[in-house]
Amino acid sequence: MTMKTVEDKSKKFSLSANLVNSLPRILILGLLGVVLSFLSPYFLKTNNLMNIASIASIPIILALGETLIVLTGNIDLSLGAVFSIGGVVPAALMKFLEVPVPIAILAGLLVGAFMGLMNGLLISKIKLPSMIGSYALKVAVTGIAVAILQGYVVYGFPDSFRFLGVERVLNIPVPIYIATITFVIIWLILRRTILGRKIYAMGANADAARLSGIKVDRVLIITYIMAGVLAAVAGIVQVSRVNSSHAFLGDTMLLPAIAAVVIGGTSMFGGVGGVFGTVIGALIMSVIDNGLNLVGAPSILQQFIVGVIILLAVIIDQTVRRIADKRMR
Amino acid sequence: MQTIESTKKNRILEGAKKFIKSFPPLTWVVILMIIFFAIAEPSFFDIGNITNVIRRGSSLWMLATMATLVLISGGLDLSLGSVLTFSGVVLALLLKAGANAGIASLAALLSGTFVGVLNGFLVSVFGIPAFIVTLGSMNIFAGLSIFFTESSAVFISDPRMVFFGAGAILGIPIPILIAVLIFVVSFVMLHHTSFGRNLVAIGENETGAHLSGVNTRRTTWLIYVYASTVAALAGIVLSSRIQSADPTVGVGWEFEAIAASIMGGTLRGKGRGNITTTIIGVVLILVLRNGLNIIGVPVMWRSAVVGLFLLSGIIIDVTMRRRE
Amino acid sequence: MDKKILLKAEKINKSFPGVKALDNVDFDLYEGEVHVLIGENGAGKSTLMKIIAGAYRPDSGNLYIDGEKISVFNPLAAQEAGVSIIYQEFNLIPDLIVAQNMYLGRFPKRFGILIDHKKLHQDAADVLASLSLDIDTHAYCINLGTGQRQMVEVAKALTMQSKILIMDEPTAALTDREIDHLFETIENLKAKGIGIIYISHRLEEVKVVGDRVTVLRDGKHIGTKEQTNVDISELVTMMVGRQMGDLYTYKKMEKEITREALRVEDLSSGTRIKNASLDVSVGEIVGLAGLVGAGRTDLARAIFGADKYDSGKVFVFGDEVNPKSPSDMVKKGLGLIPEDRKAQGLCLILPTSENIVLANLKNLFNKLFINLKKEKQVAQKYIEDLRIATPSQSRIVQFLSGGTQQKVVLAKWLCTNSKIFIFDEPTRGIDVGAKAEIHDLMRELVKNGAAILMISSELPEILGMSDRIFVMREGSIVAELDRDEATQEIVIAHAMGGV
Repeated sequence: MTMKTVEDKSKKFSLSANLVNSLPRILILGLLGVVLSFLSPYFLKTNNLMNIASIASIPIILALGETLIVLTGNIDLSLGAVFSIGGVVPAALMKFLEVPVPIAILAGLLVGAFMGLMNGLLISKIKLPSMIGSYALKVAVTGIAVAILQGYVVYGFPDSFRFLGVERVLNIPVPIYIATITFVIIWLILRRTILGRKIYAMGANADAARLSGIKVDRVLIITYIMAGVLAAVAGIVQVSRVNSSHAFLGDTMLLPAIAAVVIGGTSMFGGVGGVFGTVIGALIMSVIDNGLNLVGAPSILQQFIVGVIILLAVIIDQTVRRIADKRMR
Repeated sequence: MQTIESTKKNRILEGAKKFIKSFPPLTWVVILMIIFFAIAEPSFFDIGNITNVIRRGSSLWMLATMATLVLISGGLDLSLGSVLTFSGVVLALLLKAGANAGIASLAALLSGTFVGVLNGFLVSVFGIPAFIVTLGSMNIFAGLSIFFTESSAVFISDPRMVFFGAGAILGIPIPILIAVLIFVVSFVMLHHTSFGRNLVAIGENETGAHLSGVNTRRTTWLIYVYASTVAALAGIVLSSRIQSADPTVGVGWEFEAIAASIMGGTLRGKGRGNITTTIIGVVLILVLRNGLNIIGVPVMWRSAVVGLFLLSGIIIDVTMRRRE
Repeated sequence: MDKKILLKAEKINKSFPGVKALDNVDFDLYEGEVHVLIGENGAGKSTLMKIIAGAYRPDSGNLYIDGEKISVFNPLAAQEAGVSIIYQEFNLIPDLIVAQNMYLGRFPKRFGILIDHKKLHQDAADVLASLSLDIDTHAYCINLGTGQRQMVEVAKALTMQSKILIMDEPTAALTDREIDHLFETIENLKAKGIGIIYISHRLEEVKVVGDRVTVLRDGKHIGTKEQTNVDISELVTMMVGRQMGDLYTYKKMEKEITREALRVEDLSSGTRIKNASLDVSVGEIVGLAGLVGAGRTDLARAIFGADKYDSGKVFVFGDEVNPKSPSDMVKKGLGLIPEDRKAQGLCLILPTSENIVLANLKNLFNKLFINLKKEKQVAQKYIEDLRIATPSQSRIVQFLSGGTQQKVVLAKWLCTNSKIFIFDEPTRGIDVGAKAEIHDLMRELVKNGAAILMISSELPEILGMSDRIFVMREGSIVAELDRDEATQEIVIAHAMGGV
């Protein structure tokens, strides 16, 4: 069994260890910002920064969900599909059955929760490895989403719904509010509630957590349900923003979400990291994308750069850990 | 008093029982499915259809074989699909630039080898979890594919490549020959070389293998090189067959390959995964897709059916495995 | 008798943080002999063997194998020097066949790459035949019985041209027939000139299989006897006889032993636990003695709800309970301080304070939210009360010493106001000072109304701390002793049996 280890940076500062761990990433983000502000006069314009934040909002919400799962030591490949179906169900309800907007949204969230529940049961009761289980679920959910919309793309939603994705309040796009609120809620849950403690404990050492009286299965299922709801939220806002919905909307959203988690420093083994790092990771990716645009570089390079950053982030992490380990001996 | 006849009969019976038991439970599902589709739509069994399915499935089979090998060694390769795509891109672009088919193919093949060297290095030397490494390389090469082709398909018209993809030798389509060749090579490697035996050992007990003198680092590194090279080969075959390099085709296929491998009975890090039964998983997916197509199930429902099958298949397999 | 010396270890010293595992130990091995090594748990046997097998490096001292001084300590080098070790948990690859396991990494080849199966099986068959073993070289190791698997390990050692074979508790998992077979094989090996170091807890085997026997105790070499001179009770005395210092003096304290806290009736689980019954009362420390593998931890886990069991009853304060999960038992007031504190007692990458409050989250913080201030106070309280040596409460527990870590685990249960504590090897791997502290803490606990079930493999600890002692052997409770009637010899006798 691999014992999860970490280096103790919190000696000098009494800041939370998590914040300290994120420092290098914050630095990278800052560095990026500095470099880009030199490369392009438009980078630091409020409009541009707002744009970055706005575009990053939806992936951030999805990545928050993935962070929860990764913290427990698992991986969730179905969140992209839940993202899709979280948007498809409200879209279908609003379009075909003329269901009032709030109820449609609620339905979407419930669907997300349900899919999360299914995922959680697969992993905790049937004990499927999370990668396999969530992948199979992903295919199934996509299929259901396709079946609901009969393969069509649905357009045109009521204004009250579009408020979520398109409107501004105090000149700040609503998605940014939603992302911020979601972030704060999840952060509070993870860092200030009993549930959050249990999640971290499970990820750190599921055996010890169980032997300390924590109902590991239950915590797992709740976490999966939360992730499902978050994916649905992200999907709903996306549908609102682009004013259309189809079953494959979330296909391209999953990998960037995982990348944000990895880049953000949350360990794949669980127990280390958090949503703060994920947000930084997502912002790093967003800033790079934005920067590429501004500089006139083809934005299709983004996936490539994401891959490079993932590898760099992990290599740096690993080398730092080796050095720290050697110093310990 | 047992006669020679009856002991012989017993032994045959025992042998037959063992043979039947060695197939994963899913085999019966596949057989039932085939019967079902054949009854529902007789043209399912047309030579033309079968050949078509097999042709299309050759790339998936190659990927699944590689996925199984990597899983046996206790690892995981998420970049296989992107390598497949990327090598096709390399091939098409070089051909377009005027290179001859041989050189372009070699370059495309080596591009896969390069990815494998990269993956293997990071996993075996740096000790980074294979999931993250191959996730990273998956993104890198998927991204590069899109970049180099500017998001649109690049056509291949070189007659030799076209033949490679569409032609047949002695009536057997070339893609299939290649897939079979890869299977045979991999089979021999797995069962008849120390490298293959070492893979099994490393997957089940890395420390034990190390203590027995196996060079675990080198073996792990090499399996990634092999897997990516074959994935590149699969990409060359695919692009030749559809006569284009499409940056959106192939990315994500590794998940299906892994699913096929698992349904075929492979569990990560257990030598019991074997590439022969992986074929069952591949056949399952192919039969399902083609069958649904033939009997006229509307496209929209197919994903749902495939997904539910996948899900139940995996659940059944894992639970039955646990009973043992 | 001029038999060749295969191995000579001189003045070997080895320390681990807080523990002196080997103290100036001498050991040697002749060609063609079986040298049995005995001693209690923690006496240093396995450390010595690991040094010989290259897994550890000695702090000081010399090791000579076949006349050559060993300066490089790693498993492969040891193998090359001719040492093979068969661990209790065998190192075979389940999905490889016998022949392949035997020659892993050393397959005979054809054309340089392909395995020469014919030669492989021929060679393997030859080796097996030389040991008079009838094992199919084509069989999968996973299908072999334990005894046969062990034989394959022995054969594997032969293929490596090993001259020295170390066997760690070889008969632990074997049937009588398999044991006989093993002894025959050993005779065979001896005839080939191979030297065997045989570690065992089963004293009755010493006379049967050993040519010489060495006793280790507390890391020291106590004595070496020839087989003809050996007397089992003398061996036992050598194993356990020691000066009992203050540390382990049984203090008959002023405390009341009142009502029954925990009672187990006829608990059975598979082959690991057979009709075990015991009881612990408030104010009592009950010791559970026995050899490693006797089933004590299994019993503890079953009581705690961590593992399912087949039949039996558990009573907490007189009420029958059904331990379905640890969470149930924690609510009933139980706490388990596990054997492997790092893997099961602590979340190593989390801070001290978080580990301390981990089992009591719901009660400490009434609502959903964690009151950071309260957490800090509570953690501080226990850090002070138990004198937990940490620079700050946010220190990640991974970096604390063994003794300190154990205190954190204990703090976790104190924080939960547990009334019944199950300690599994409470002071294993902990330095003397911290040991004493933990023992004092345990005594404080029962004085204040707790009940303790203490599993320990250290006889002084059992005798020094327990009011009553249960002895477990091979899954059954074989003895219940009052402190007054117990001596080390009696406890060991029950634990090992057949004395």
